[in-house]
Amino acid sequence: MIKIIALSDIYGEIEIINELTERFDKKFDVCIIPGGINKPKKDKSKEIFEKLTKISEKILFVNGGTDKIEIENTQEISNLENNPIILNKRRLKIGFLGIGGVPDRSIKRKTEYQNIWNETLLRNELLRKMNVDYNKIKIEKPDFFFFISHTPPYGIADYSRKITLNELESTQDIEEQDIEEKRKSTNPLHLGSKIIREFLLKNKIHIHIFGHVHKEGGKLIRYKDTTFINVAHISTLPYKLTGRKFCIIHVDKKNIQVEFRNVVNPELDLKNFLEVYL
Amino acid sequence: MKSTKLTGLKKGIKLYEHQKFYVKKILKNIETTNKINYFVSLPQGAGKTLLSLTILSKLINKGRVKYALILTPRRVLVNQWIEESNKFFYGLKIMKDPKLSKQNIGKTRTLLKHSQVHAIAMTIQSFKNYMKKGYFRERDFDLVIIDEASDSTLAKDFLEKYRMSYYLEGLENWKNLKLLVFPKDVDENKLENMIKKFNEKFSKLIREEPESIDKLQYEIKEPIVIDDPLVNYFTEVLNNEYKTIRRKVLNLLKKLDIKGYQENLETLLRHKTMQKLRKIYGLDKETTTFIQVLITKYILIKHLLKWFLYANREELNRTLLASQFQVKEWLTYNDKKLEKLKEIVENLLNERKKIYIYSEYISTAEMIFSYLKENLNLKDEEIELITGNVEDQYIRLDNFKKKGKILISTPVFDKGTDIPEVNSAIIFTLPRNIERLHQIKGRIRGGEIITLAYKGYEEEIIKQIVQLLRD
Repeated sequence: MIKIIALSDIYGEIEIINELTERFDKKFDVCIIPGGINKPKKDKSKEIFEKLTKISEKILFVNGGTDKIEIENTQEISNLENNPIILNKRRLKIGFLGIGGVPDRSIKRKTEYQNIWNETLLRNELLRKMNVDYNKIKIEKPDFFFFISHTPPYGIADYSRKITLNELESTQDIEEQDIEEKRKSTNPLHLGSKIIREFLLKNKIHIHIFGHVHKEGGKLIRYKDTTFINVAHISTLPYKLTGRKFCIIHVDKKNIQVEFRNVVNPELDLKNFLEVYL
Repeated sequence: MKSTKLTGLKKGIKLYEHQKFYVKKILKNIETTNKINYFVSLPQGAGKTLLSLTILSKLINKGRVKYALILTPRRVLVNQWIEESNKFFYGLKIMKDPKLSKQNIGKTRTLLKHSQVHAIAMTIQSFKNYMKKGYFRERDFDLVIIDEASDSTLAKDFLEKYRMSYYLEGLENWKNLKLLVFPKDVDENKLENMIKKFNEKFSKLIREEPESIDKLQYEIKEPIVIDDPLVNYFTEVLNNEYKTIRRKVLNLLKKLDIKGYQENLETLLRHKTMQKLRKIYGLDKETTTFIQVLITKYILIKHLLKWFLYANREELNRTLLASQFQVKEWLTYNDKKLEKLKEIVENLLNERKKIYIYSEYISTAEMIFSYLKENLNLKDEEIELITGNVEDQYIRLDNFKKKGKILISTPVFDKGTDIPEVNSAIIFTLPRNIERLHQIKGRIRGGEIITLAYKGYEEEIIKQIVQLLRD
């Protein structure tokens, strides 16, 4: 069995990574980070990767909208963009491929982001990149294909108002999304990528792991032959209620099990729990 | 010379005495006074749509109105207006919001001018968009009818007290004839302010309770109380936390001598309001951020409280609370309120009753729909769900009226929409305010009203609601 931990949207919060790594003395085989590693223009990736290598043998990541991490791929840490990887372990072969960045129409303030693309302008180029990567690992005949991206595919766990990192705006979002009367003034949209959806519909991907749309984090959706997992977000902000989230995936020849968890002390009684984490 | 009637009531359709009376009264006022804004506030069951359509029809025949605009707060009401005009009138042609029929708006305006259409009906949201794009102007219409006008027209605003709604802003200055229709239970202050906005000098209020209207018979049942010790515990803790944090904010404002925000603390989350406060009271950023963090916290707690009461397990499951040991335990078993609802619905179905279930939240309505459909083995045509998320609201409503047994809906489907076929209304989640509570009751034309509540916190509130409904 292969043990995978997946977490996204860290936004440079070293403290939460510390809290997470303290919980696991055993190593995972792979740690998947579908982007959102840094806060805009503040690169803390080195420190974050260093801490996560304590709990995982391998780190596979893609850049999110706020990242521009350029590293040399090593045995331990790899950027999946243009660099598909085959993990061959315990008689199981998993192919990983990925794409970074976010569609520009999914974010509220373009200045907060540094890795954005226009879906119309870059459609052909992005599709070509993903297809090339897919075909590279297909030759190896893996048991499972894992696709990692920061952005969700269009229409799946991607319904929200445009993404912002501002906590107060996000609180308002929770409030407004819930109450029917206020919905008319908010205008939530499907923020996912149509290009990724197109790619996924044409190729056989078993698991798609993504983040970005915070409001839809923690959703696991099975559609056709693919399991879609929105792992947003492990950071404590912008949504306090849905933050501190990560996901553990167990893969064996016949089965893939997915479980969401939170970086919290579950033993606290409700009153103290609220005091500590809200 | 005898003029030919362009439109009128179909053969066999007769108005009630009170309807005849108000039609006559309003038309006389239009002819003899300088009033242009008519505020008509009558009880549910008075037939306000039919009354308004009769006025429109008579004004068309008199040549006073060539084109009218009908504005409603909800899409489903647009269809209702068109259905009533087709059902009761000959020659009265009302065009549906072009957005709904997906026609080109440019063509629509030309069509309105050159076709035989007498009125166009649309939602206030569409109206706002069309006005923004300059598709319609004041001079395009001789009469504007605003249905369910209280919420559509005026919004409560902390700073200005009352302001014109975002959607109808500017309409108060139009010089053409306006008919604003709303139920009798509309808030007195709101009504007064609405008239002020439209200029009292040119406005006339008709707010009466005609004796000829049949009093509807309702049976308001005792609340069904569900005992779940964990929910009782959660709601108690959350409610206490909510109160404590709110009190903390109020004390802080008192200490800083900031007045006027006690009733509407959430306003302080607005950037502009906080900037203003910083300027007036010389507050530093740290203090204002602290106030905002506290407000944010109690908003989140308020949401959690609702999610527990409204059986919103899907949302709760995705929060970090799902890891807390007591919540984790609670999430392992079926929701007791939902189970009770299933039992009630099953009994009502056995009595061959048609049921309307009200939920404040979309996600709760969706959950009730799936749960009942699966657990009562209902066929597609037996259960309908109408929320802001579904496109074909009117078709679904029609399906329910014809073949359905259960209708589940949120406030998207409240004001002005009639479902006289229903025998039992079940209030699954608390409505946000008293006005909305009366609207739920008003959807059905008599019958029983059933309420459900968890023991403790929710029980106390629901008891007051039951009392209000009985009063």
